[in-house]
Amino acid sequence: MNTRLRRQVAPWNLRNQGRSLAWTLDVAPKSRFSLPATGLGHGWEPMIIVALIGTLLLFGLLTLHSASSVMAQRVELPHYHYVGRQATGVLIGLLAMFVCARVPTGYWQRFAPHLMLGSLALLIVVILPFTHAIAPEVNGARRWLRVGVTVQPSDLAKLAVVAWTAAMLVRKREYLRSLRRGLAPFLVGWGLVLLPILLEPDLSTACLITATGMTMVFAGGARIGHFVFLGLLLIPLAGSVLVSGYRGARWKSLLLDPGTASDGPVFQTYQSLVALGSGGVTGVGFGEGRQKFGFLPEAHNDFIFAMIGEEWGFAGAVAVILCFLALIVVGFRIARQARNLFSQLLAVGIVSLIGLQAFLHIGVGLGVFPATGLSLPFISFGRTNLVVMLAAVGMLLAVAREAPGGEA
Amino acid sequence: MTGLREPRERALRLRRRLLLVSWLLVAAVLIARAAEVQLVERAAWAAEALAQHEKSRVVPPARGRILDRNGGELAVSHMRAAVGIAPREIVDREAVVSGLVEHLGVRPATARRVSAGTDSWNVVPGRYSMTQVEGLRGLKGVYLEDEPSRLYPRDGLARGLLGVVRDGVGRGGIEQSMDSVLAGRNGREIVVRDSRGRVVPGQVVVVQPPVAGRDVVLTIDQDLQAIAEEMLVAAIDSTGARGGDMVITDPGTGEILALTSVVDGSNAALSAVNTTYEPGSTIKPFTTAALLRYGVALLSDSVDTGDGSWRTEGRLISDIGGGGWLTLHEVIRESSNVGIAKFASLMSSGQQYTSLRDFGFGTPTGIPLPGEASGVLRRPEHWTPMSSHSLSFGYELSVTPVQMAMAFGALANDGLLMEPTLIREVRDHDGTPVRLGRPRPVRRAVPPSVAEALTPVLVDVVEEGTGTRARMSTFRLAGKSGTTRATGADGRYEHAKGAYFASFGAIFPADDPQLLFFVRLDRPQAVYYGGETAAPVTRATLETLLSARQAPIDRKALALAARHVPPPASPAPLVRFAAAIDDAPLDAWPASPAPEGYAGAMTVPVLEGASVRVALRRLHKLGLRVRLEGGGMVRATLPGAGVAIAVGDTIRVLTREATLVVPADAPEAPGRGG
Repeated sequence: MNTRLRRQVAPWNLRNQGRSLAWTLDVAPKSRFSLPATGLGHGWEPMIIVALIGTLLLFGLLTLHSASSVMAQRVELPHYHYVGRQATGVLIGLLAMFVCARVPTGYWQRFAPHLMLGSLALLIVVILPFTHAIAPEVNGARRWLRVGVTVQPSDLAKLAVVAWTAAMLVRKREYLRSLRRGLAPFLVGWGLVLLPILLEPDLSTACLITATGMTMVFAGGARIGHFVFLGLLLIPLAGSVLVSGYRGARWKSLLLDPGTASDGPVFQTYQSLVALGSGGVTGVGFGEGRQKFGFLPEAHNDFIFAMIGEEWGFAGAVAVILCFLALIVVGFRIARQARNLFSQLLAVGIVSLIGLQAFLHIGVGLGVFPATGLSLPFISFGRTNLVVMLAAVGMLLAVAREAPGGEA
Repeated sequence: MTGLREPRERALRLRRRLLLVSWLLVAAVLIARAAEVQLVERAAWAAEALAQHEKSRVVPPARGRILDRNGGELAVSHMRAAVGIAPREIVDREAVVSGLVEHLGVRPATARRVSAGTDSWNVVPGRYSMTQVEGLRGLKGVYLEDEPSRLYPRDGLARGLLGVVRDGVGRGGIEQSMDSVLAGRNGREIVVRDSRGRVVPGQVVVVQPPVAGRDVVLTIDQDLQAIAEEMLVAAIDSTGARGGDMVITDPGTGEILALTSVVDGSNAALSAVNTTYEPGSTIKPFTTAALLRYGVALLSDSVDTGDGSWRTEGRLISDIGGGGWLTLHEVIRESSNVGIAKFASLMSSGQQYTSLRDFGFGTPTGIPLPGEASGVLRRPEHWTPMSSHSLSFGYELSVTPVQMAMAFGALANDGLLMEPTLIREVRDHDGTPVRLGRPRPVRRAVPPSVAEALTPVLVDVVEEGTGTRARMSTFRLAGKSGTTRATGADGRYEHAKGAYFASFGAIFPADDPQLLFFVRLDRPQAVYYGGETAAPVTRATLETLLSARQAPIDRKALALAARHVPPPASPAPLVRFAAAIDDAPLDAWPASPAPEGYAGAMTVPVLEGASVRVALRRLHKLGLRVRLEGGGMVRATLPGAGVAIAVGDTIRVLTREATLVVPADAPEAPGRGG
């Protein structure tokens, strides 16, 4: 145990913030038992996290093969094309996870603004009018940066926002009850990132980032009244976005009888429900799903949960939901045991990011939310998201590792 | 630990708990919703899914080809296109209209109608070749759907034999009987449609690729088939017949080389297989074979045909001409009804029935074509007193030309009756054979000696009897003609003039049979005798065939069979019947040792210790079939002596040499060398 790092200072001393890794917050009870040192942390929480992630990744690759082989062969690619690419993502992501698990959380706190600025720069590159060569338009949106590898900057931005918000919450903790001095900086920071994302356009990611940020601010102690105020502010904004253009059509069609609409998001939701419903209790069997044959749009990505529900049935769907719920509950335990406020808020932010994306995806599949393009973490195809999510899990493990009683 | 920290930390902990509770609530809501969709509404969604997936469509496979024995194409499949128009998707309407008119030859009005308006989908009538629709590819709003279509390269050849394909299913002929082999397996593809039912372009997913059908190689020789059809039509034209059939087989293998029928000017129906008639005099060689087989009479035995008519059992049997004493040989040569009837009355009904049955009459030959008629050969218990006479010259039984061809084939094949083979080979679409048609003997209808003895008789028929119109200068032919009263649709004899069937069966060449012909003409006008009408067709076909460059004949063997020796003089009657018959009345002839027809039960005679030859003769006389195991002295029979049996039953004769027989109830196996 490094006594230098554990010297006692005022826990919320802002002068130490970002410069020193040397303060702790003893909020977690000492674990009653501990597993052998793995380098991933102490106690059973990290083990649970690693086990859950491993399960989800393995299940994800299997499901992805079932979902994408048809699609791959349709364009005369080998059936393992998507799975092969995803597997490389898994390897890179696991590497990122182990690296992040070893990086002291203090670095994230210190370099959060840099992360934020870097993401912002990439996001702006993607939407610049003269960068079509490296940021081509795909399906009417410019979301990807193609420089040898394909990267989705908005995925990076998710994690940057979580780290930055946690750091900012620690810095502004004394002023959080003030709207102008406490909350406004968050709105400005988020707004800078959200603007290019909305211009891509990628509304679902923008919503996800906003929701994650709000959750973190709530967990950080902002006034309830401000949330009400922000909510009131958002109503006309959201309303104008929602009723305009094809997004409006989505909502309108959702309010009308879904059966009458023919295509677009309602058709997608309808197909998703057909897939889930025909799965029944135990599903039609692995690989036996029929909805992936062109009926279910983006079966390998935005609607992979529907495909799981079709092939594995209610049992599979519930298992996936419980996996993510377990991840959330364990994540909150890690947050409770975190050694300082930043770690604690970082853990809450990471858990919220993963949980929100997962449950929004599942909610879309179940027709609870309107169809948006959110992938299911660890399972859907998409390497940037996979790597970022695994890196986030690595940061969560770092928080656990640094917890009092940990090996840090 | 400052005082400030505690309440603040407590507040944050509360907020985290609140968040955790809301996460649990959200998860609960999602699980509840999943339960609603997947458990409560399951049936409805499953039905929806089924309805949706039925929008999948069948991808027809390429149908297998039908080839002749040398690989010539008789039926092939190729793709033709159906053209669909989605008027709402058309960008350049004029281009579509002119394209339809120019490339497909559609009338301008039709082209305008299908491409205009607000219909979501119109179909251009007709099917078009791939080259025709090539010019339409790439036009927006025009959809081409490939459909397989059947083509018969030798237009009209062997139509009845091949059949047709309608809506993807074989109808008639080989197309029907081999449909499961030719058809292949349907593939399935799913077409994504929006709720208006339109196909979303490019959203076609092949779920299961179709499996191409297999090729069927027939034993038919397409050149021989063409010659046969041409000659048959020519004969029908020259005789004014209503129709006719021709069957050409290889008697050694039972392979059918040509098979054609013409009915009312069309070769679409295969009456050679599907319709029966009374064979008439062409049955006489088989009656003779029965007489020889049972040792009832010899070819040199003779009979008094009187003035060519014989009143018996209340009816008059008459011949065309002739009369006087005729040997059995001469009876066949002159085709004397009286003579053969008198000879036949020497046999028991059981013997006559069994013998005809053994030649395959009354049972389907098993030719792989749909709707084969079996013909009728009644069992002896249903016979009338005149049946034996009628049957001896080919009445009171009905046969198909194919049955006749196979029976004649047995005479040309040392008495071995073959199953007709029509399928030579089934090949996978990549050419690897998956099934080979092999010659399949049905049974030995008569001993080889009987078949051998009959050949000179049938040669004589052609050389100087009723079939001389088939005589060839180069080769000796064996044959027998027949003429029968035609029966109408009601099964009664037609009394109109010329209502006759003329038929002729021929073995070529007589000494080393390679081909077997059977020709039947339906109601030839003017001259209607089989020897006058059907026999010349055989000769004309043979002559054309021999001059053809490629014919399914072994020319080397043929050269040996060509006549380089003068035909032998017709054998003089050497032996007269043992009894003094000059003055003996017919009914005083020594009765056959066979039991009285079919009346009552008979029992297995005691044969133990007798020689096999004696035993066989006795059993055959009783109308029984014998399975001989070994040779020498008879040890036992199965069933044993005294057991009640019926005509046609099979008796196993076990001899002292037999080692292979171990009946279940036998005390012990005959040991050999310990």
